[in-house]
Amino acid sequence: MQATVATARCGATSTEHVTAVRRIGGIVNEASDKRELSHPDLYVGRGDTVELLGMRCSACGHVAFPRQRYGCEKCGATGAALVDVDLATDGTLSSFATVYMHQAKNIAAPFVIGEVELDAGPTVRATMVEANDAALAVGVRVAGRLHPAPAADGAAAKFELRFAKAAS
Amino acid sequence: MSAPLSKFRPAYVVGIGLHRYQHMSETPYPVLGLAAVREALADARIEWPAVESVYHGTALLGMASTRVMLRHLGGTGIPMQQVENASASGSTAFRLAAYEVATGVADVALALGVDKPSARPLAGSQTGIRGIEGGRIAPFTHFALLAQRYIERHGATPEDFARVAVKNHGNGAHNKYAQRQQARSLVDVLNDPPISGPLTRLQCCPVGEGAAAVIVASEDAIARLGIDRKRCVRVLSSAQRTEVVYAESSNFDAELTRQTTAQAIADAGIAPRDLDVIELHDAFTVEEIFYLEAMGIASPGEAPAMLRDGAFDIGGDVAVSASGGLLAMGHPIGPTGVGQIAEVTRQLRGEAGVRQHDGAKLGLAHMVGVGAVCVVHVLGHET
Repeated sequence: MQATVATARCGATSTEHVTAVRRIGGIVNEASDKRELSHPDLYVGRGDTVELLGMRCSACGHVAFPRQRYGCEKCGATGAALVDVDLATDGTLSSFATVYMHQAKNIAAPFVIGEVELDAGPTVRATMVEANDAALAVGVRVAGRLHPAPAADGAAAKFELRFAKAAS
Repeated sequence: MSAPLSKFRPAYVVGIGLHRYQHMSETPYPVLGLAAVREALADARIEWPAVESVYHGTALLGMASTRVMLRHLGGTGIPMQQVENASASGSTAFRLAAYEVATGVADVALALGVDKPSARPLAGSQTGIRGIEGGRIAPFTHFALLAQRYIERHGATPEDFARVAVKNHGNGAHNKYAQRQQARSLVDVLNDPPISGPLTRLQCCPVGEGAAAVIVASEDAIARLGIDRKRCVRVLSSAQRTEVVYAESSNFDAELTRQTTAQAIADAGIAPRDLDVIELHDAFTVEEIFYLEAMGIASPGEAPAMLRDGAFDIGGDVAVSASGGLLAMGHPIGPTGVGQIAEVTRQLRGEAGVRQHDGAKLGLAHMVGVGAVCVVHVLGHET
């Protein structure tokens, strides 16, 4: 049943999809502090934007996402050398792929995965807001946003970080 | 200070054996493994008690899989161990067997690979560090993303990638050990169900079950056991590396392959274009393109045109994935790297039948494993 609903959502026309996002987006803006995030350990909403919870190694300068305290992947520094930084999600699309077949329970194919070179340094990969790749091209500017996460019937809506083509 | 294999005494592949790679079945794994080991012993014309050590590459069988399988050859009490290194498990088992013989710890060592599919999650998903991908980037999507970058950089087309599948399925059609033994046209490959990005189903390897075995021996053992010297293939070099932090947005699989292959080729004292046969990690078509360029077989952006011109066919400049590769022979994980050594050995002996690349004297086997790890061997036939 869940799969059927999710398929219908992904199968909606682009016009319907955009409308849905705008409507939910309006609710978000009115009550931004109440947004429940799918992964609050990975990103945080800041008004209309979203930032990634990253880290910077003060020993070697390596900026990384996600945040961890095990040790710097580049130089091995640990402890106080590892500093929390919040990373803006503005960046450039370096690749994308439409996924037609996938076994994940929480999303129905097709969906689009984007690879983003963040202005802040790291390259990250995440789901795109766009339901298809028609408007996407390597080199376009993108930004992260909080997007309603696919949810089981009756479950409270959560928000997940996705990337979308930036308004030009 | 690490030492290359060439610093030690010569080690030779003297016996090879396989159980066909196939879809997961009810067949118990010892049936697969024992068939491969018995075929390798028969190929070398030696008996089981001559084997002094076992390295068993397996990623999915679970704890303590080896002795309970190999006891049916008659227990001799020799050391046996499982080797887990993701898709490179079998390659790593072979490396350990080659070093053990080269350094004189043993005269005869068996490298074995046996696996059956399992749904056990990767340890990488349990490190306590999560990402924003949300489990939505399967390996085929990782390589679809790299493929799109390659398309942008070099103006490649989906046909350029699909031709890898046409070649490798064509080779696999003549390999009785291959999981997929059916030739496919360019139209077949392109019209197959799409999976991710430019990749269709026939451009993704099947992960099934199977077994491969390779016996490694010293010159002393070859003489003592009366093994046919003309069928011995020398292990010229062995290189193994792991991923480091590369420049952001680099193709880390290709970069890791570039470094590991360069080391293996240098240690063997050859140049990339000296190679006659290459078995590489073509789990997805696009990988063959990336790795041939990373290895220095083709210049950046040049591999699709060379492929189109037949340079990588059996009988071309260098036969690539003559076995059918992971795409057609299959990728049962543990056996795959050992099976590559078996194919390279068969080619260098001149025993590959209709798949024979004439005059093959130098061969290379390459695997990458998620994590990421890379293992490369160069083999040569001296007579």
